Amino acid sequence: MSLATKTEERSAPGKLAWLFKGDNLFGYLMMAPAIGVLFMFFAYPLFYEVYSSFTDRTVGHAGKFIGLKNYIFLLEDPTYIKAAINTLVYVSCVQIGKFILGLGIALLLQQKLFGRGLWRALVLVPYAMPGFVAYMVWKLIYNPDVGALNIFLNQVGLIDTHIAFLSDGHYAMPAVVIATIWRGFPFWTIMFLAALQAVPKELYEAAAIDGGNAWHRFRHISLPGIRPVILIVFMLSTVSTINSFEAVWLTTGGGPADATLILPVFAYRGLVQFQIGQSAAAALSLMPVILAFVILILRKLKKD
Amino acid sequence: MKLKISAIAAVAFLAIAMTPAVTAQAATNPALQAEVKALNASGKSYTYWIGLIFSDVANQTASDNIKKWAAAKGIKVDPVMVNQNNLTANITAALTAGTMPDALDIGSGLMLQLGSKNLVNVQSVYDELGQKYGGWNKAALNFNAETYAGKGLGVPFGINGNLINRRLDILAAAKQKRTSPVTWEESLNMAIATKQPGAWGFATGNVGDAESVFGAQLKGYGGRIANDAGTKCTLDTQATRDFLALTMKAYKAGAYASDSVTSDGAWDNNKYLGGKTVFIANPGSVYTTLINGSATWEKNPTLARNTGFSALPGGPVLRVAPSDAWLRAIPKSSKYPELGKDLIRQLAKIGQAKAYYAAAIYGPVLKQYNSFSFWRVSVDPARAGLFDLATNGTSSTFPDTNNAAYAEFGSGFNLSQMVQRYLYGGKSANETIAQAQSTCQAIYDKYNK
Repeated sequence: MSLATKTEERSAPGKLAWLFKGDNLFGYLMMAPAIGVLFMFFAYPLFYEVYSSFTDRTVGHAGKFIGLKNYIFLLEDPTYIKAAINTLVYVSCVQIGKFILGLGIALLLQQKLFGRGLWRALVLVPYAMPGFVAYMVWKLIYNPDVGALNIFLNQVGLIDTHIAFLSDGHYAMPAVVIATIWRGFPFWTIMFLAALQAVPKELYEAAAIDGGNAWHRFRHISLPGIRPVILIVFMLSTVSTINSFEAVWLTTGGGPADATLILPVFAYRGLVQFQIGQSAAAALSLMPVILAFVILILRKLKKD
Repeated sequence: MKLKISAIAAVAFLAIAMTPAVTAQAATNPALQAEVKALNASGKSYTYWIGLIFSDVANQTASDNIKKWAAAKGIKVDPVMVNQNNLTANITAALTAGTMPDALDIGSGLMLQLGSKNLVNVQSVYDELGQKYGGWNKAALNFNAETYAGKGLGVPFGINGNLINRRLDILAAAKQKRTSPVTWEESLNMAIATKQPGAWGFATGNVGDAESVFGAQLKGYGGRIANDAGTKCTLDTQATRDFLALTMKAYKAGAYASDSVTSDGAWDNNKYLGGKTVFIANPGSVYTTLINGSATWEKNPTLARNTGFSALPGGPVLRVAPSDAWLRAIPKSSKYPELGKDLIRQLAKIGQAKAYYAAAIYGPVLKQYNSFSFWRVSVDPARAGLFDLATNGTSSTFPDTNNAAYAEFGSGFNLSQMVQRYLYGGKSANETIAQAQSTCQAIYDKYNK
């Protein structure tokens, strides 16, 4: 027997000794179900999707490993490029809109208003409403024949004809963006409101004594006070908006002529065309961007 | 002693009375008997996916027929209603998870995609039913052609396809002819003459309704998706440009409804039922709704009387009447293929089929079904149209070759997208055709490697 083998034999039980120290084993056993669930419902599907994206798998056919071909195919596909650009535009506009509306209404609801509790509850309605209902309502609002928006714009004299907001390439994206902002801003408002209430009142009093106006108080007290919350909300909401499917699917289906086609809808279309490998690649193609974005936000949070 | 004999006789009688069908079938087919035993021993149910159609009565009839069959076989059954529009997604998930049903209703395109790798060959059942019921109607025979890649993978049970529904009262008021339009151009001119916006109520979005009408129009103008061999895409032709010119004429005249591009599968039905359009293409569900009503629409016999039905118009080159079919198939993953074949035979029986067709919106597949009274124009004009389609219609892909590449091109709504880019996306005819040609060739190349 060589010296090396002897050493291995001696050190093997020693290596596992830490497991039996104190409550270690019990602790790991308690964690095992949670780890199992995470693996089953998160890690396994993710790895399976990553693997599928490197295959030519279609419905009913397991396919074979084809390396980066799916990704190369996507980069050469003008529809994918359009979907990627649309996604960038859609997410940017929606996030800016949610931030402005969310923060503005949070600041308003922080003031001493009549029926403030009721307003705070009402602002949650769009967020509490099922997405399907919310977007079908918006589809009705935008309807060129009987939609409330067309009727309103006609009555106030802003337009003299009916506009097909969701069917016109120029209006479709702004229309979907507005509907998405409306549905999502309450989350921002509530988070900002909670954060604003945690900012010490003494700071505002001190600023008032020093002659600071409302803008100064907002710029130098409120904004820095809620900065960590802004970053967290921004991160969570951006990730969820990038993966947003129902807003576009229920209102325009990605049309007209791909004017509102975003990557989740593009991936879904691939799936109904039986292209599992290509769809997986499309769905994962933004993963590096999302990861970079999350890492950037987390670093900023750490610095703060 | 007397009591004992009576008791034994009673038990024997009960045993015989409770299992008549099983023993009768089992005597003729040992494999079937073995499957019945195995299924019962497993304690599981036989699963069948029914493709939901726009008739609750038909869906329920299908489910009841399957339950009756299972009761006669002495097995448990689970008929699951699956939205036809979600079938691809459901099958994708079921294949991955290993939870495919034992048998199912399936569209021809998806059947081709699954292919012989995933589906049991049921050619023997197809042949047997053809012999038993006087042969197959023309549209169902398309699935038996030697050149058809899906031959033997499913048994057709319903022929579907579009008919033109048109508003006779509105057209009369606009001094238009009462007879059906012969060409697409003529129907468009009639729609424009009514001066009603959106009178040409065809969808232009990413839906099957749009894809099928655009397909028929393209072929009417002499266009083809691919060559005879089914290998090379042939969209970049003058015929495609002529077809696009027709759509642009309709668009500029306001004949397409302003929300036609955000349409879903029920969009054109609702437009017509709501009196908002003059022409639609529909497989018969609108007429059924007008006569019977539905959860969302009340009966409307007046509109039914004011509706004319006709085959799809043609173009300057060709007139096609695309007929497709829904088929019954057995996944290879099923442990009970003989039970599946037996169920297909059972559902094809005259009584079962008559009850189903009376409520469903399908044309007949077998010649002995042709004698059902509801195929007559005087009884039901929409079903008469479906009967005409089943007995005289062309194949769904005619004159193109029906293969998996064609199915994938269609399921991606690539014709609709070509039109959308031209009408709504500001692309020129050349640009949008070039993009469609490129997408199409990539799909065909994949299957011809």
